[in-house]
Amino acid sequence: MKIGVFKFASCDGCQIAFFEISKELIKMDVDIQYFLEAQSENHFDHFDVSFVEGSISTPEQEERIKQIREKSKKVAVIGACAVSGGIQSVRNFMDFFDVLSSVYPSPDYIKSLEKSKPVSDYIDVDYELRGCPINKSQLLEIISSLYLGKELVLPSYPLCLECKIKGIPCVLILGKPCLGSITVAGCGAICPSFSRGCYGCFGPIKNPNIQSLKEVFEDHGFGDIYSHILTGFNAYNREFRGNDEKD
Amino acid sequence: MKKIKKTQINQLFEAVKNEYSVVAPVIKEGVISLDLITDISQIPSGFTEDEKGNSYKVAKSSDRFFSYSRPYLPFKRFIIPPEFVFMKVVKNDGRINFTEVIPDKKIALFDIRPCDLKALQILDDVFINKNSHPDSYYAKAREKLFIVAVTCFSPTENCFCSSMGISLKPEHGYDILITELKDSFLIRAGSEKGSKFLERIKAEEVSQTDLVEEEKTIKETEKKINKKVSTENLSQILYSQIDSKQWEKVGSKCLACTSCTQLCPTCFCFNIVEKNSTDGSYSERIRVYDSCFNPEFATVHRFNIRQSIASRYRQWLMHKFAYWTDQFGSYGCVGCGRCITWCPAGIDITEEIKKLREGYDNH
Ligand code: SF4
Ligand code: SF4
Ligand code: SF4
Ligand code: SF4
Ligand code: SF4
Repeated sequence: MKIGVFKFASCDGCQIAFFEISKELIKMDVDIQYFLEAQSENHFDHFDVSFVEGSISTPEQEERIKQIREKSKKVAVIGACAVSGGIQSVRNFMDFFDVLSSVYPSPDYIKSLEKSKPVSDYIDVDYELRGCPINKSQLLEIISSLYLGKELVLPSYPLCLECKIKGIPCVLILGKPCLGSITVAGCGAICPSFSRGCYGCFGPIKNPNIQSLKEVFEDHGFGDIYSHILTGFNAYNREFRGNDEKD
Repeated sequence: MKKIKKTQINQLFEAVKNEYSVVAPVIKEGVISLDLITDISQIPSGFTEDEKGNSYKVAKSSDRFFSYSRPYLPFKRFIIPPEFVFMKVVKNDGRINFTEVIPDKKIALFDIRPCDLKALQILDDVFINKNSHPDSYYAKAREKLFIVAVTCFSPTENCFCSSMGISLKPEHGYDILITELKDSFLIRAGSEKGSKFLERIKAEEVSQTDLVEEEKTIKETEKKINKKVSTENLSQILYSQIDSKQWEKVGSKCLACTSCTQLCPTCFCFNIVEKNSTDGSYSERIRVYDSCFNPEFATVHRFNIRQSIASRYRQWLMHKFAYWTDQFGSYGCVGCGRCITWCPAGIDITEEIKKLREGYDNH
């Protein structure tokens, strides 16, 4: 099985998961053809599956992601940047030139797209691994499923189910803002197991009840925090961005 | 029936502990939860929950031994755990071998209240008695259970067990029943196993005064249960409201978080997932809790028949109070109130039933 690992606008953090499962990878007959962070010899030829970290943020990246699609049987996007646009997509909600000139003294030298967008805005995507960063067992699951030819099953249910399976008392009822009910499971309910609210790094479930949870936050008197935590790693996910921007 | 001094509860506990792993209420992560314990002092004596609507607090407030109410977690977790391997599959020399995993722990449920005791009987019906394919794992785990029930003198504001036909002092279904009086405990055996334990404890005779005190405390406690559901003709009425506008209303509030189903002592749904070794030589078949609020729950051949949250809420309420009566001949609710306290959206199932009933009455 030929694998490629690619990076776009991102922090490189999700790719670390490949090193964490390296013992398992060695046991499988996988051939890592392209992975700049891990090896000096790389071939851009043909891939059974390509893993893409990072959002599409520059014109070059837009071209490059299309090339990757052409060369790959399957494309899996990994992490909140690739899935949703990442933390850098908060610029999508501001004036682009204001942002640009506030960061760079000579913005003329910068070639950037106005928006930082998810990979799926440019190409068809076969699999999505959520999280900031991703969960290494989910990464192993995707690779071993492809390797063994079995159906990949990743959760689509909210974090609350994972949290309850672990027997953790609901932190929202105990008075802390938590996005668990609109966030997809898969991280192992890390934050609630340390009595902290989930801030949604795994991104939204399908059709989240955003409005009702907003009212719940208001009833708890959490102030304006709701829109702030939604404006994070997954702000530009299709479930969250404005309705006019869905396409 | 016997009477023991308050200090003797330790003897009873130790006797049970000698033969069983003991599961009992404990304080954990700021709530009265449930866990394996090894010492009677781990019981949260003196603490009481304050549950109003969907708010929860625990405070030290009473000098009674069993001062708290039913724990946050349901006891079902210690019979059918939320996630466990029930089958191991090994591939060897071209052959595939399946090994069933059988529960082997002898567990005592120490301090189970009448609502949860009734829930256990309901699960017995679901998994064994009224099931044409009895669940072998559940049946095995159930056989090994020892049940120490406690007469409930500490309802929360969300409890409505009496509406569901449950009395604060259970009549059967336990091995031992403890009733706490002011200065002593009354102990009853409900089975041979239970009687054997009682024989080992030096006890006093029960007097008429004790029984009067017991009766009086039960009466007083009943008065504290203010939350009510009218169950008269309820399943018929609910069926007539299957197209009610109320489902959309509650659906717009419900987060489909699944919490209610996970904490409900009678919800039994599970999924089966498979974990493989990467070389394909070994796999574990895992049974894990599921919920009708799970967006994929009703996906059949890639088509999801319950896409809206409203339709999922309807499934939950209708199952508990209507479909269950057809399937198993009882309601699927014991009125423990957990789903009310722990609903992040503040939905109260008793209020929803009231609204549906009103819809019927006004028709
Ligand atoms: S609990 Fe939420 S914020 Fe925390 S790791 Fe999981 S998904 Fe991310
Ligand atoms: S539902 Fe009834 S038996 Fe259960 S804790 Fe409340 S009052 Fe006690
Ligand atoms: S439906 Fe609610 S009140 Fe009834 S048994 Fe389940 S959790 Fe308790
Ligand atoms: S209410 Fe839902 S989760 Fe509970 S038993 Fe019924 S279908 Fe299953
Ligand atoms: S606990 Fe409340 S919000 Fe969550 S699924 Fe149940 S009714 Fe809906």
